[in-house]
Amino acid sequence: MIEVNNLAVKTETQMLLEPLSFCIQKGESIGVLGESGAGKTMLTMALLQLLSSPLQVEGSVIVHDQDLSVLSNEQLRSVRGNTLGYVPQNVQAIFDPYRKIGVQMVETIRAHERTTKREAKRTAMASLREVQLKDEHYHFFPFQLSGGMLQRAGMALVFSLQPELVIADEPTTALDKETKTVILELLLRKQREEGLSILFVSHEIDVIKKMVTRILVLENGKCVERGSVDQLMNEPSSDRLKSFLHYEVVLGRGTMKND
Amino acid sequence: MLRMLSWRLCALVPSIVLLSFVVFLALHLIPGDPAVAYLSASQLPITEEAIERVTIELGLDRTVWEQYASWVSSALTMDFGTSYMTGEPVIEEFLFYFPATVELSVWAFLIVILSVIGLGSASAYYRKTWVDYSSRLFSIVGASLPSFWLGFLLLYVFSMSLGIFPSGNRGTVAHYVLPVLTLAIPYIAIYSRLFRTSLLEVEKLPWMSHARARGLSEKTIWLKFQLRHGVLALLPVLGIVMGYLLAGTFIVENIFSWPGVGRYMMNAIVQRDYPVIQFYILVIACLFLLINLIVDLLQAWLDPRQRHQKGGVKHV
Amino acid sequence: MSRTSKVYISMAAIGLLMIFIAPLVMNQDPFSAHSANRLLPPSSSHLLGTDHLGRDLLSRIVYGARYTVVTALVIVVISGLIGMSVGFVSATSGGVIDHVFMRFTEWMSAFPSVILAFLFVGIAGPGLLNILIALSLVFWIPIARLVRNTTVRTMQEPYYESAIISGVPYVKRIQRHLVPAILPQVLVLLALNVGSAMLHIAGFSFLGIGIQPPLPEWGAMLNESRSYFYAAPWLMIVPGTAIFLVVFFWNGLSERMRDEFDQKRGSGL
Repeated sequence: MIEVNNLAVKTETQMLLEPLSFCIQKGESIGVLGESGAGKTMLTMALLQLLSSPLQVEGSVIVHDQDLSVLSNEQLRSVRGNTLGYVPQNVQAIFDPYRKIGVQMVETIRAHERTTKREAKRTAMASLREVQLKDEHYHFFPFQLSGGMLQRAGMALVFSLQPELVIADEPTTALDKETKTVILELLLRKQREEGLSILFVSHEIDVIKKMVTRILVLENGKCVERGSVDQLMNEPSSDRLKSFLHYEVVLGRGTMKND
Repeated sequence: MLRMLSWRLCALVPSIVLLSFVVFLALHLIPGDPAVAYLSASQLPITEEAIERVTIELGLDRTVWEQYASWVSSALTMDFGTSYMTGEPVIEEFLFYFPATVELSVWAFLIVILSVIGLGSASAYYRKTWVDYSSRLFSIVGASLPSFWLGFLLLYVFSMSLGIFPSGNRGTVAHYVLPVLTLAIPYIAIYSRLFRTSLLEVEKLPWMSHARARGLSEKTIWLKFQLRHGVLALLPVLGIVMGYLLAGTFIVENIFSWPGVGRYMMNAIVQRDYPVIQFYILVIACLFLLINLIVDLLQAWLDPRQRHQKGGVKHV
Repeated sequence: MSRTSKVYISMAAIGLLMIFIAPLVMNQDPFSAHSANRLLPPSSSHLLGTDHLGRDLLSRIVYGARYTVVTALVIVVISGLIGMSVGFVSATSGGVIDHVFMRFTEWMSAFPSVILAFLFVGIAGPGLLNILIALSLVFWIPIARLVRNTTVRTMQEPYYESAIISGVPYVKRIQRHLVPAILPQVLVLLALNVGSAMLHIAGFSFLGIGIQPPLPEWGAMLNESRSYFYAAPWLMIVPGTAIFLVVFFWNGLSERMRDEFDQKRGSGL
């Protein structure tokens, strides 16, 4: 459903993300593993065509036979959110702090579908319940929610548009265990039941192992290794992944350095 | 909200008391003898005995404290003394001239707000295009123009040469155009640039890119996110502008023979009419306190974080 | 330093030279009145024309620069020195002193301080000295605030703290960390203040409470030109343009410096 060909990000003097190609099928999930600064977030932003000068994006991102890199802003608008859902790492980066969560959800839904306010509100509430928030949270301001609740509200916002691919940039990193489980379960269920595709960015190996079947390993803006989860976990070829897995064994936690 | 309002209003009282004393003291410290000022303002001969008589009459032989106490006690009954020049109660004269100044300032204020928001957003939206560059040029030029000269130029072009607008005095709408423009242009120049900067700052805030990522239209992003936050950041500045407009009409009123407080005060200053000056400073200072209060309340009302704070009192 | 900045600096130098040397070489006396030459339009003998008393406008403008421009520079230097020292002392001493200072300047910057300066000059009487005092009293406050805030912020930076721990002496620390953090911002503000001070001096004189005629202060000259507004517009245009150009120069310089410092900071990241 999405095909990425030689996607690269650079400035005038520097290559920030080396050309990278991959594709994700419907209902498939792939993981992007790497330390902070490896270019994971830049990759997600480049996929969504959200980078602007001085950063230059090259290569093509093809979604349903449409190359996103040649679309106008207005055409991109209908792909973003609608087809590609985005969950950022920083939960404070989802909602405008000055307006109610529900209002922003309705605004987003109505930006993509011609529906009445009432209808949009019903969709929003249903989405909130889906992430185990309550109806009353619809009337809350973002600062009235905890980080975990905010991230769930963010997921609700993304799923209220029923996207085909969710790009999740470290969605669970800063969260408590319970919220983490809710979010991961939700993603897996959507994948199972609705054929959702997932691009899951993380530095946590145990989470990635649970979520995806294939992995790309990024280091310094370069894809150093790729393959299925089993294959990579059993016979890592790059030093980076080796030391990475080694940490996991020694320390008993599958986490790459990340701040 | 209501609690906050009443709390803040009560907090104004000590500020005003302190302020009135500072003003009183400052006027005492500035060189110059009020008795002499009184005699010359009321066109009496300045002789040794006359000075002595007036010094006692005005109570200038008492200590500062005594003088201040007596000033306060009469101020509490809304008696702020009489003008040396005319012998009329200061407050009545002031209220006679004040409306003209308020009219001028409020019009200028509205023009400033609209132009700042218009010009600032245009140059932020079309940044690094000719729109942005010409607005930048306009703001450096506008901030460098002496307002008295600007007034002259406007008069020369629009009143004397083209004859479109009248040159002075109050009356029809046309009378307002030139003075209001003269008053407004420097502020538009300075603050449209500032507004542009704060709009660009908003663009860097983290939730802006998510707004794009979820496919909101550029129009929605601009109006509901960027402009909204930019205007919120502009609020305190607008308060200051309103204060400066109210207090800074000396030059404009002088050029356009506008019958407002500025011209009245100019006279009072030249004549050293102490009661008038003192009252004026106090009024201006109170106006500033009031405007600050209004800005704070507006901000609290528009910012849900403050609106939802328990007790509603903003702790600084 | 970029080329534009060099241009600015050489322009400033030429301007200052003109202010001090030109009156020596000019053959027209800015004060001598010739009733025969009243209100002459610009011509080859009087490049900018003459005023209502027949005085040569060019020499009055050049001679007047020392009142408008030099006074403004003096005010900026004085208020700059006061502001920087007070801000620095307040930041480094902390505690009650800092608190009192912050409250005081908050108060002062909430009020129309320039109006106070205006009243001060009005009551204390017109004249160069009173203008100097009044405007210096007003102008030091924002500088002190800026220096105080930047100093406090810098001293909380990890690199400053690590400099303390690694035993870099006090004076060196100030040289290395504080001065580079403060100086650019202060310079930008000072340049802006020159223009602003000029506008105020000229404004006071225009209203008749500043520098008095027959001294050729530019604002005072504008005020004198009022009665001949229609008959002799150059009387108004010349001093106004002079004020505008010099203020424009300083505002442009300030803007330019800000851009340059921003760029330097940007590339340092």
